[in-house]
Amino acid sequence: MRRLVREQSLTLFFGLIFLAALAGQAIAGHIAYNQEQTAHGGSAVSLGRYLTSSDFGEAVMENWQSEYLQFMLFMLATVWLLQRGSPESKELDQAGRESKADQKLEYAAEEDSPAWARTGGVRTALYSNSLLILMTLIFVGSWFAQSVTGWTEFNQTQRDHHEAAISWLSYLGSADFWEHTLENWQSEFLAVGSFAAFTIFLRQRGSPESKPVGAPDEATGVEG
Amino acid sequence: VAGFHQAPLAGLAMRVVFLVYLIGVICGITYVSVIGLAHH
Repeated sequence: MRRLVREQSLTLFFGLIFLAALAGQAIAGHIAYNQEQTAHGGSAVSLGRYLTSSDFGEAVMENWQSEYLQFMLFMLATVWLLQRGSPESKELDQAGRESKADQKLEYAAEEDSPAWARTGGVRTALYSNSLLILMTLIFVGSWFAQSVTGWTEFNQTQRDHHEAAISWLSYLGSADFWEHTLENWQSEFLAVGSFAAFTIFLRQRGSPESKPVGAPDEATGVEG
Repeated sequence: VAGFHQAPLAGLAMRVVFLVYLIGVICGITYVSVIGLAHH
């Protein structure tokens, strides 16, 4: 049992701190929401009511979509784009989708390769891009969820100010939607770009995200 | 022998981890989409 837990410890750890952070966000968000309500002459709401509010939903989804966009773009960009000296990059002569032999596809599949890597055709094409497809679907789904909750919030504010509500499509073109979107994108893009740059000259002993401590700065695509 | 007995369990644990994350994310997105749309 202990071995089973140790072998899944990365996902278990992040799953647990995700739940703890989400609970903390819910509690802090509830307090802040009620402070705002009472400051504007409204009445406080229960935690249960806050958890079903668009205020909470939008706050969660605007961060989800940007995280999944970040991973999706990073995965896609690193197929073709390189960074000399970074372990996050492929080796400098490996840019591109690589050969069937390199990717162990179809005739080059090995005994323990997944069946869909071996069959060829649509199934192999789908399986070859399945991680990107899933991350893209989650990104689009969470961005949609952000848009509908943001739209609800926006129209609530409009009504509070005795102004006309707008359609979902109009909201997609609004400054409010794009501010909530881009404020998250910019931080993700900076974090990924700076991390790739920092890994050229800096190391973390034992981490697969870093080169081995003794690897030269020039070493590209070498993981620890 | 220990490895032989643990291999199916280890495979099951990987599948459970994968499905918990996948279903969790889908449920989260669906939940927020529904509460967003329900107010209209």
